[in-house]
Amino acid sequence: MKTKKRNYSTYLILTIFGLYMISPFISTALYATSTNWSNTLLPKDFTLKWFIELFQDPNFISAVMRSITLTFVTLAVVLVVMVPTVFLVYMYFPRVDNFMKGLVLMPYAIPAVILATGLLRMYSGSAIPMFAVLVGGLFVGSLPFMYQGVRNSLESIHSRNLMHAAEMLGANKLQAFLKIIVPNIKLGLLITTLLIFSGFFGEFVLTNLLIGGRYETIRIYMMRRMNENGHLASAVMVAYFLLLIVISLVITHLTASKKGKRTAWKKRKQQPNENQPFPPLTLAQAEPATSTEIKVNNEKRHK
Amino acid sequence: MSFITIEDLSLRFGEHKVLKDISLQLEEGELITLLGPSGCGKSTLLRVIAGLEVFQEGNLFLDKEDISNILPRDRNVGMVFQNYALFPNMTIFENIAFGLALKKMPKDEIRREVMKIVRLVNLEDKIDAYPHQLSGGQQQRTSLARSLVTKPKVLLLDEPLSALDAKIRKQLQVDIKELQRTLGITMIFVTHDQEEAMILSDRIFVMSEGKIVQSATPAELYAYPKNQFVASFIGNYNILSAKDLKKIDPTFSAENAENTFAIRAESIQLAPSSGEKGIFFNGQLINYTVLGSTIRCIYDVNGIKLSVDLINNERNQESIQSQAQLYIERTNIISIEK
Repeated sequence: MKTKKRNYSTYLILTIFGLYMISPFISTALYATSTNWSNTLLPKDFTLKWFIELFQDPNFISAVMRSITLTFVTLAVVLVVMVPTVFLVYMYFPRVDNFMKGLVLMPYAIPAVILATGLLRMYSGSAIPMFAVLVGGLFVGSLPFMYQGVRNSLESIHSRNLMHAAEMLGANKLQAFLKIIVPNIKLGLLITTLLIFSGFFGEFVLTNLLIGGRYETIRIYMMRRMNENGHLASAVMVAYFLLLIVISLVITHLTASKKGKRTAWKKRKQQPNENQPFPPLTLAQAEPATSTEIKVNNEKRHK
Repeated sequence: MSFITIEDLSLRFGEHKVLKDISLQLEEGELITLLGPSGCGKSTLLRVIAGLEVFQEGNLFLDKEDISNILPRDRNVGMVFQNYALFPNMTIFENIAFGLALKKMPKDEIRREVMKIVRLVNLEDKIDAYPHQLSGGQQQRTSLARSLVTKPKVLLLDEPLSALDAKIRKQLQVDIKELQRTLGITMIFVTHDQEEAMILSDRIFVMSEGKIVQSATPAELYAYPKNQFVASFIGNYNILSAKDLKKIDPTFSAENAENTFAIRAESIQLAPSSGEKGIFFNGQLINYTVLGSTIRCIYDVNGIKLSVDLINNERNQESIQSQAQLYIERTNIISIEK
């Protein structure tokens, strides 16, 4: 009986949590599919005209494409630079690790507006394109998540031991990193990537201040349209959420483990062979080696 | 020159000297154990041989070759880790085949070699499983197979059984010994468990504070511990000063009053009724514990606490009383260094 009670309370808590999380999205979706919603519990009508208008607007499609470009370029830079860096620091410079743990928290201490002002004063009018400056700014902003995320993943798989084991088996450091470490921190990397992906995709302050006028991303587009029409802005919001979910699912699918497929393939390939080329040998059957046998075995090994 | 020769090897981590003038020689096909308490440097010494730690002084030869400056991957040394270090993203087959694949061995040959070693460690039905699907014992057998399949010149085992429960540990001790005899491979085993060292080793090197304090066969080491540390670490010895011994046997006279003596707990017996020559003394029972086949009694003898191991039989069970007459043969009192 006690178990049942606990189950009901668990479901109740989960339901309340679910409703709390999903109700803003449902409300926004309802507002985006209506023309009039005031003084009633639910909207008075249903329409898709805001979505049609939105998807027919070339500026919206361009804004989405710009956001995707900015996000993926920044993600690529972050992953390519940070994963090997964190790995090297964790493995070979443990003293630097303590310093880095403090350093990567610095972005929390600097508000985005101040960061943007500093970057503008430093790079405005320089040869470095502001897009690159923005990528750099976002890179710095992602450091707390990226450093700690990758570091925790490395720690959780006992990467030092795995590296040593791989090296003892004949792998060089690069082979060990690519074949052993990267596949095993993939899940941690995926979670960190998704976390900073949504952050980059929805970034507004830095993007708007640095290149907002010339490079309208989806958030800047959303802000502009919000002033024009609330229903349309809601449609942008719903489209934005759905797009985030779709991209996250695609990233998850692309980087997910293919263990199942691989195992099935192996099983097909490793069908038991009835004509084994050597007889089964067990420890119980094996005679202890005499000193001559030891020498013979060792000679064989040398050959 | 022996198969493995270490000469005056020292290693420092900053100011702290972890290994101090270590010298040891190991013959081909031998299984030795580095035995000592935590922090004595035994795992560090193993890692030095593997090439995972760089030492500052001394020489290290493997098969007549100076391997001091050779990378771990080029030393042809295998290593089994305490936490197995199996690659979680690979099946058991892929784990074992990893080293062979790196040597660019043909796939058929890899498969043949892997299956041969997999049979030897009884894991034929697990080759498609992932490490997390195996028990601790199976994971450690996989780790052994993975190291052995590349046919290393020497296999290093860093407390490989310490994470396993007692039953599996005992079984694997037997398996490792048989495997070593079957393949004739040279092994260096690190453990802090003296019983494990006794079961497995041809020779035991006892380490303390970065030094080898004694090396001997298990029987020699148990019978003749060199000093107080070895005596207290290797068995259940009573360590007594000359003054303490005089309290037990007033007729005892030591050449040097500073000498220390060791008496094995099982060499003290309940006194026979007659006919024995040795030291007889009375003890007051403080406590006793049944340890399976033996009963460990603690007696107070004139203010000295003596640990006495008796065989757990009916006669001894009946003889354990608050007062007892005890007996030691003089030859069982061993003089040791402090």
